Amino acid sequence: MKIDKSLMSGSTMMLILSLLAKEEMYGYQMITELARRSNKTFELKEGTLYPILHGLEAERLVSVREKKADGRVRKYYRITKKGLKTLDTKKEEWGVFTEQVNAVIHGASLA
Amino acid sequence: MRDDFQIWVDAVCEQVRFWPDRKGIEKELRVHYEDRCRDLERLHYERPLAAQRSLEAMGNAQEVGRALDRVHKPWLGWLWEVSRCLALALTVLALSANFLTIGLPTLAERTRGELAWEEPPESASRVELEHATIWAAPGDLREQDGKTVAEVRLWIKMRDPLAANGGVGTLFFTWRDDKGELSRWEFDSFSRTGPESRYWTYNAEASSTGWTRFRQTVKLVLDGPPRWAEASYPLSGGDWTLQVKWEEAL
Amino acid sequence: MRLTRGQQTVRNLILCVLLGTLSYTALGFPPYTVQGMLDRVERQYLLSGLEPLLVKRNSLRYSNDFFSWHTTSVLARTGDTYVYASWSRHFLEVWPEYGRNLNMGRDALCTAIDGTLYVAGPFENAASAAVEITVERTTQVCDPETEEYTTALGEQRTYSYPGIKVNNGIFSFRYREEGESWLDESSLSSTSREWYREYLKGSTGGGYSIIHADLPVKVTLYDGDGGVLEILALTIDNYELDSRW
Repeated sequence: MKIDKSLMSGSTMMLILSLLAKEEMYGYQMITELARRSNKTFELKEGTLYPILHGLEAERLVSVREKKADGRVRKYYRITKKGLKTLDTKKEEWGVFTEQVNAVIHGASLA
Repeated sequence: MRDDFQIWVDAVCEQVRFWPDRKGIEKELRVHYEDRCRDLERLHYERPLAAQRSLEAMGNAQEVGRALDRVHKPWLGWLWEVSRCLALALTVLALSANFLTIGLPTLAERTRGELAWEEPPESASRVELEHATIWAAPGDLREQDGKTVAEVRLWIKMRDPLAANGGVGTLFFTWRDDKGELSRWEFDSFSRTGPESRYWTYNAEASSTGWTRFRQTVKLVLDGPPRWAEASYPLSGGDWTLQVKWEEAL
Repeated sequence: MRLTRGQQTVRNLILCVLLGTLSYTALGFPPYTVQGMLDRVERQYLLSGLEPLLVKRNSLRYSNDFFSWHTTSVLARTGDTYVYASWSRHFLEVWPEYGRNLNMGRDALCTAIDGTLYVAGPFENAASAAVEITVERTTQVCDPETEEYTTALGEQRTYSYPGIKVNNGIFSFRYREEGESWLDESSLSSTSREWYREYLKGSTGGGYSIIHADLPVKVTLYDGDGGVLEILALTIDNYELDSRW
C-alpha cells in the first residue's frame, strides 16, 4: 500500500533520523532500507531525499563524511547528539499525535 | 552527448543559485543513480530499461532543484567563501616575515611600556590638551663637569593609541628656567661651552613608550641650580606652560 | 565533528576580527586616509583641528615588487600654525617619512614637492605672488693637519619664479621642469645640491657629502593692482629642493 504524499511529508525527517539512529548510511542505502523496513509503504522520490539530508546537516542534526567504498566516493550521514534529541522529541510528538488520531477514529467508529 | 541523467541533473543544478555547490550535488546524485542502475541490472533488467527506471525514481528535477536551492542559501554560501578567503589572507599576513620580526616584538615592547606606567605624583603640574594630558615633576638635581643637570620628568597620557613610529612631540617644547630660555635640544654626546652652553637633552634610559602612555625624562644642562623651569609649546594651542620647582629641594 | 557552513562562517569571521585587530595593532595603527594621517600628526605633535590645504600623492613601483610604494604629502593648517607632513605606504605598512621630517611653522610655511615649491599662509587678499630663492656656494673642508673644518662661502645666485594661486591658503612655484637633467648645473635643484659640499676628512679622492642648509626664500605677495601686499621671509632645506618626489 502506498501512502498519500501529504501524510508522509511531515514525518520524512523523523523516518530518516530513525534510520540513522542505528548506523551511518549513504543516501541510496537509506532509500532501500526505508523501502525494506516499511515493506515498500514509504517510497519517496529518491532525488527529494537530498534536500532533506542537506537541510538536516545545516541544522546540525546529522554530520557528513566522505568515504570510499567499492570504488566510489560516497557521502555518509551520521546522526548527531542534537539529532538524537530531536528524534526523541519527534517520536514523542508522533506518539501523542497517533494516539489522538486513533481516539478520534475509534470514537467515530463506535458512535 | 548528454545522456538522460545528465540532462536531469543539469536541470537540478540549474536551480541552485550558489553555483560552487553544484559539483558536489551532481556527484552525490550521480553515485545514487548509478547504485540504483546497478541494482536493477543485477535483477536482470536491460541496461536502457534500468537507466530509465532509475531516472524515473529520482523524481522531478525542478522540485529537487528548488528544494536544494532553499538549503544551499546563496548569501550564506558567499559569506562563507568570503570569510574563508579573508581568514586565509589575514593568516598569511600574520605569519609574514615582517609581522613576526617587527610587528610582534614592537607589540610586546609597547605593551611592556604601557604596563610600566606609574602614576605621576600628586604634586606634579598638569595640562589638559585635546589629545593628551601631560604632567611634569622635578627630578634629580646633580653636578656634572661643572654644570648642573636638572632632570624633569614628564608623564604623557594619550586619549588614543599612538603610531608605532615616533613618540610624542615633546621635541618641540621650548624650555626656560629662571635665568632665561635654553637653546634648542641637543644630543647627549655634544659637549658645549660658552654662552650657548645651556641646553636640554633626553634621557632615553628613563623613558618608556607604551601605546597610550609615555614617560620621558628631559635633562636640562644649566650653568647653576635652577629655582624653576618651565616648558611651553611654540605652536597653536601652545598658550600653556608646565612649571616645575626645585626650591624646596635647594 | 565537521562544522556546518554557518558555523564555519562564524568561526572564520571571529578569526578575521582577531587577526585583523592583532595585525593592525602590530603594524602600529597605520593611517590610510589623509584625515587619519592628520589625526596622527595632531596626537603626536599635540595640536588640534588640523585642516588639509594641499594633498599630493605619488606612487611608484619597482619591477621586482608586487606592491607599489605610495607617498602622501599634506600641507595643513590649524589657527596660525602650518604643518607639512609626508607618509609612505607599502602594502599595509605606513610610516612617516623621516627624510622629509615633519615641518611646522607659524604664520607661513614653505615646502618643496617634486619640483614645485608650495608656500602656505593666509593668502585671501593676495592675487599673485613671486618667489626668490638664494643659494650660496658653501664648502666645508677638513684640514688634514688640525682635523678642523673650515667653511668657505662663495658666489651667490638668486632664482625667481612666478606663483600660481592654488587656493586661498597656497601658492605654488614650479622651479623644475619635467625631464630636467641631473647634470644641468645651472638649475636650482643642481646648485642646491652641488654648492653645499663637505669634503670628508681623510678623503684623498675628493669624496664629499652634501650638507644641510636653510636657504632663504623671499615670497612677495601682490594685490589685484600689482601693489606689494607683504613680503615673507622663509627658509627651505636644500635637500628638499633637490628631492625627486
